[in-house]
Amino acid sequence: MTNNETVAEKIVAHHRSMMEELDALVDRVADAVRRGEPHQAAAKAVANYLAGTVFPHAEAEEKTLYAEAERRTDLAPLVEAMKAEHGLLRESLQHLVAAKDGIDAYGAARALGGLFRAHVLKENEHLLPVLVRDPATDLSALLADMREHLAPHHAGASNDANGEPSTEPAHGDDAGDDVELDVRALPHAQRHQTIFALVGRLQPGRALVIVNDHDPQPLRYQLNALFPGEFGWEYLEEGPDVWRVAIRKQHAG
Amino acid sequence: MPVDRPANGDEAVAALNKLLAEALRALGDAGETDRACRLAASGWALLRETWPREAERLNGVLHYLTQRPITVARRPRGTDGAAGRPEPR
Repeated sequence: MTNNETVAEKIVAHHRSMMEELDALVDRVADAVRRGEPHQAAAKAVANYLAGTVFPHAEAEEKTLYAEAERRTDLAPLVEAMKAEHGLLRESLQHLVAAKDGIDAYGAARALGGLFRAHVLKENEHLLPVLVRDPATDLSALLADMREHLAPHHAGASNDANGEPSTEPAHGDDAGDDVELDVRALPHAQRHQTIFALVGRLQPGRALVIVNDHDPQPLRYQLNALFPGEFGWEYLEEGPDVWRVAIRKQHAG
Repeated sequence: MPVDRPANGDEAVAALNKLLAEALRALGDAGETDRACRLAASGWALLRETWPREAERLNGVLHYLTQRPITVARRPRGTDGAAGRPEPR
C-alpha cells in the first residue's frame, strides 16, 4: 500500500465518521418529532455540529485538498461543483435554523444529511482516488496542512495553581491555542472527571485535544448527555495504538 | 428472575440500575448499540452526582458497548423515510 493510499484511508474514515455523526444527530431530530417532543435542542445540535465541525473542515479542505485537485483539468469541474455544495450546505443550514415547526426542522435536517452524504461520496469515490494515483500529489503533506488550518497549534496541558490541569496555553502569548491532554498519563478513575473539568472551561471555538490508547467513544456519549450539541468531536488520529480527538466548544447559535 | 426486596432507596436505585445495565447490554447485543449507548450515557449523567458508584456501573456498560462497531437496527421502511445506518461509529 502506498503512502497516499494509507493517508486516503484515514481521510475516508474521517469523512465516514462525520457523515455518521451528522446522521445520528439528524435521527435525534426525527426521534423528537416522532414522539411529539420539542425538537429545538436536537435541531440546534445539528446546526452546532455543522458550524463547529463540518464547515471548518470544509474550509480547510478548500484551502488544501481542493486547491491541489483543481490544478488538474480533469478534477477542476468536480472541485467547482463540490465548492458549490459547501455553499448549499450553508444555505440548508439557514433553512434548519428558520424552521417553523418540527416537520420543517426534520425535513431540513434530513436534507442536510443527504446532501452531506452525497458530497462525501463524491470526494471519497471520485476526487481522492485520482489524487492517490497522482505521483505529484503528497496527500500526507496536504493532510498536515489541513490539520494546521483546523487546529493551528497544540500546546501541552499545564497545571494551574491548584495542581489541576489547566486549559490555559503553555505559553502566555499563545492565546488562541488548543490544549492537548494525554489521558494515558492519568489514573483511570481521574480521566473522565479531568476531561469534564477542562472542557467545562473551554471558550467557544477552542478545543481540548485528548490523547488516548483506545477510541474514547464512551466519553463522546457522556459529553452529549451532559452538554447536548455544545461540543464538536473530531478525530485527528484513529489508532491503532494512539487516538487523538479534538473536543471543540461550539459557538453559541 | 428472583429478586431481593430492597431495604431502602439506595438499594432500590442499585437494584434498578443493575436491571438497566442488563437491559442495555441486551439492547446492544440485539444490534441497537447506538441507542443503548445514548441511554447508558443519559443514565450515567443522572446518577453521577448522587450515586457515583452506580454511575460507574453504566460507564462500564458504555465501555462494553463501544468495544464493537456502533450499530443502529434497521427500522421498517416508511417509519421516517430512512433506513438504519450500517455500522456507524
